[in-house]
Amino acid sequence: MIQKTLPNGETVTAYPISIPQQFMFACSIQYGQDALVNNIGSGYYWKGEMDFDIMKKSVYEAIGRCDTMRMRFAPDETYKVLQYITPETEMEIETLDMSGVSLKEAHEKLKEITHGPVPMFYCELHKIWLVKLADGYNGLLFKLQHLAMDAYSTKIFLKDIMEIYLHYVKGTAYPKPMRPYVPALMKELAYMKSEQYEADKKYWYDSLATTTEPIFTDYLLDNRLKKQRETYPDRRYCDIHSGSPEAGLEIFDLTAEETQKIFDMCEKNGLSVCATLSMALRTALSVFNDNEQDVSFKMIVNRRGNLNEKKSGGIRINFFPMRSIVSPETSFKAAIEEIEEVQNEIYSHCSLGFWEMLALRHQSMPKTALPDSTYDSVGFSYQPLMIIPNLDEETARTAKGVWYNNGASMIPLYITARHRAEDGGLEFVFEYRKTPDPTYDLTVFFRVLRDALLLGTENPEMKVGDILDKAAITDEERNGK
Amino acid sequence: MQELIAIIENYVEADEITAKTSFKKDLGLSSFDTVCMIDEIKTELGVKLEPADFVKYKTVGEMAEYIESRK
Repeated sequence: MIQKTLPNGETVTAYPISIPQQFMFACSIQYGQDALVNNIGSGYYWKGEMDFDIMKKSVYEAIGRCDTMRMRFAPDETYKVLQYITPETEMEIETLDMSGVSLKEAHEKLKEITHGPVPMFYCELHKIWLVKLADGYNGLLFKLQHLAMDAYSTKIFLKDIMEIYLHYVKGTAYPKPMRPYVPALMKELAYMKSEQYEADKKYWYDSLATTTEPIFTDYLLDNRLKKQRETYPDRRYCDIHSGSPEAGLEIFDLTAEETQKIFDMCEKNGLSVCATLSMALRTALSVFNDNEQDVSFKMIVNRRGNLNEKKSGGIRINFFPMRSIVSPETSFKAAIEEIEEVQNEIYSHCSLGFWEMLALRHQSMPKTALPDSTYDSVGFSYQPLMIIPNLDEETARTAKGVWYNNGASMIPLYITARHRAEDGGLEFVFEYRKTPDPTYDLTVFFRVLRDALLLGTENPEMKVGDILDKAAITDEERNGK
Repeated sequence: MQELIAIIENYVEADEITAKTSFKKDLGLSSFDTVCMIDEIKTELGVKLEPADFVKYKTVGEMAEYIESRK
């Protein structure tokens, strides 16, 4: 705890920033304010009435309950960045009336609004609007600062707003309290001096520095490692990071029925949904890389276990290498169980900072590797379904969560599997760096991923080798670019 | 069982948790929740569980009995 004097003479209790916040701050420095890596732009809309006055009141109440919606930052000579919580928000919640333009035009405009630079020091970080759209849709638009919130905390905050709103308009129960941010932060800050930190460092050193070298597996049909091996035949890592983080977005859907089949299969076989989706992803990477058995990708871990972590806002994401070596003789189900074991080990050691992970990774890489040489072409996260209770049928049926991607990606391809608000079906959001242009490749990649997932769901005892054959890239697909 | 319920209540907000409450179906516990709970159960109840135990013992009651048998 530090007593920080602000430019206006006020003294506040401030704290250093956590490891995930340090990572985001470093990205801001690396890419600059204009690169939008710190923008979270999202919306939640439904077809039906919205009492704008009550919604505004509900949003303000929810901000009062969520400390990191009232977070501010201050530069500091010792700590670089300090954070503090203000007791009240100064946010003005305005209404945007887009009912006069088409939904498509409205969303383009709303996306533009979320692309304005997010502020940093001594000021409100976030902005929320009430939105009126065409065709009877209404909702909320969020432009949030990623150093203070992430996708999970944004969803919990949205849920809180809606539960408060429904309490006032329908008389349903007022939501249970959110949790204070500072105790969760103090636990994070204490981590660096804890036994767990030492245990995590040892685990990752043993996992990364003492095992065989992984191999890069690409999501592009024109495999970049193959290209680099023309010059460096023994290379197993790849140099794929372009200078520009400019990113595009593609969303691929599974139907609600397909999603339910996956869930039913997981329930019946006692499998983790996240591990099952990871299995589909690594199978697609395997197919794209001559049925390579040794596949790695970056797993993004949310790190929210207990309620204090789930309901205290903030940013808690961290990245870890997820490596699996799966024989074609293994069944889909057995492979998921293997992945689940790796996943659970990662979960047990997931607080180590990203930069420290990178350093441990590089200790074991060949001396020719550059700082951003990698074995991982893809980052992956799964966001479980979040249900907003007490919505009426029409609202629940028409509700839609929209992600306005900030147009900047810190990694070449980031796949988020999450659920559509309107029917719970899975959608796979591919946020990809535009250079080189992967848009054709991604449609093929998702086709392969989907086929692998549905084949394994239909018959979990099917051998991985058979799934690789059935999901293989066709000549037409390979030549269609 | 009350000790186990007290631990579970650190992870989910459920109106009522009974012996018949299912970890996945009723409480929606994720793999990450399970790993964290295993840690807390070890600290508070002195029993080391595995993630696979949550597949085998699907309800709070079944798990409580199993934990008791391991003490």
